[in-house]
Formats: sequence, C-alpha cells, structure tokens
Amino acid sequence: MPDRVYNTLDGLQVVLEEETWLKHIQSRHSEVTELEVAEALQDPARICSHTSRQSRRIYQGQPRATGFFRGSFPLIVVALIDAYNGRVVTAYLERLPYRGQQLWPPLTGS
Amino acid sequence: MASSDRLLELDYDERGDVLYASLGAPQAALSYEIMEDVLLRYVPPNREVIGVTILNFSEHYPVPEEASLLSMAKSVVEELLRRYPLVPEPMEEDKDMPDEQESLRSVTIRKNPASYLLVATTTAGCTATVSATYDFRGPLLISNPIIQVGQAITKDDSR
Repeated sequence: MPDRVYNTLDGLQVVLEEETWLKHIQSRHSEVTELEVAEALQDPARICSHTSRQSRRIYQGQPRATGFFRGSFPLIVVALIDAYNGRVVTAYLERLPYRGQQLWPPLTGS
Repeated sequence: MASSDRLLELDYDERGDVLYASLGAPQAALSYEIMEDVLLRYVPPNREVIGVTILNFSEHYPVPEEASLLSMAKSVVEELLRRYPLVPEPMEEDKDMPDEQESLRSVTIRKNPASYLLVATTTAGCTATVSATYDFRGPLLISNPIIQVGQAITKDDSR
C-alpha cells in the first residue's frame, strides 16, 4: 500500500504513511478500517484540537451503525507538519467524544 | 487474573511516538482514554483491560537513553495495568437508553477539561442549564442536586 494523501474538511493534506498503517495501526488497532480513516479525515463528525498539544488535531468519524462495535466512532490523531499538511499518527475506536476543544463544527453560543 | 498469564507485547512507533502494548497478541478492541494520551483497550461487554496505547510516549515518559525505552515502556504499562485492570464503570453506551432519557443526550459541552457547562434540552423543549464536574476516571457528575445523569428533565426541573 503506498502512502495515501487525504484532503481534510479543514483544508489540510494529511498523509497516511504505509509503514504507520501496516506496521502499527493495522497490526495494533485492527478494529479501524482504512475507509474509516479516510472518511473521518474527509467528512468528519467533529474536529478537535488536542487537549494540550497544538501540534495535534483529532478527527472524529461517524459512529458505526452496525457490527460488533456498533455505536463507537473512529478517532484519527493527526500530527500537524505545517499550516497545510499533516500526518496520521494513529487511529482508534472510542465511545466517548474526545475532550479537546472542538474546532468544527463551531460551537454555538447561548 | 487471566491477564497475568499472557505475555506483554510492545510495539513502539518511533516516528509517531506511539507505544502500543497488548496482553498477548493484539486484537480488535475499543479504546478508553483514562488520562491524556493514555488509552485502555478492552472488548465490550468485558471491561478487562487487554492493552494500552500511549501517545506522545517519550514526552510523557522521557528516557535518558534510547536503548532503555522498551524497558521503561514495560514498567509503565505494567503499572497502568496494575492500576487499571478494568475500564471505568460507565461503559453503558451499548445499552439502549429509554426514550425519556434521550433528551439528556442533547447536551452541549462548553468547557473542559475540569468542568463542563451543560445545556440539556428536555423532551418538552425546555432547557435547563446545569453545572457539571467531569471526573475522567468516573461517571459524569452533575452538581445540580435536582438533575442527575440518566434522569429525564421535566418542565418543572428546568431553570
């Protein structure tokens, strides 16, 4: 599998490197599919900043409607290389929303 | 505990600075962020922790020499597994919530990490603003004594 590059909703080009995917994510977090990674980056349900690191961004995908992990959703951790580029660090499934500051969709005031 | 019979397998992604650890061969699982960058791995409905993933590992656990990273990683993971043999209790998301509790799902989280201001919408369309304290290790606590997680908010309970 060659490196894959995805255009994210918030304007980044994020690369999923072959070694990261095959050697680490797919072998250690096999519950995440490549399709989920792609969809979470390109059409996320939420985008959050890392709870403390400005150089990280988290893309939350849509929840799974079926299957053994129904109701969970993929979280893709992206390392920001610069203002326009990033690299997938890891990905996993969670059932609780990520606690970082939500960047998208924008929070509405009340 | 059965987990003590399984060997700890470690994998360190140096480029991403991610440590992956599993008891025995890695398997598909859900993750639970017990603290920043520390994920406990489990296969519901069983709450037993079967692995740990740590992001930004070298920043959280700096080592003086690269050669000792895996030995430190082993110690770190073993301590985490000792401290957290099970994921915290409120792993009830796989249970269907009664319809009257659906309104409590419509919350907007305003602030984090220590406290959240929640706006909960009732089924009747009324809104109630409550203060809550979120303990990452436990359930979401609602400081308002009237409104509790899982309790349907009626018009009389709103403020």
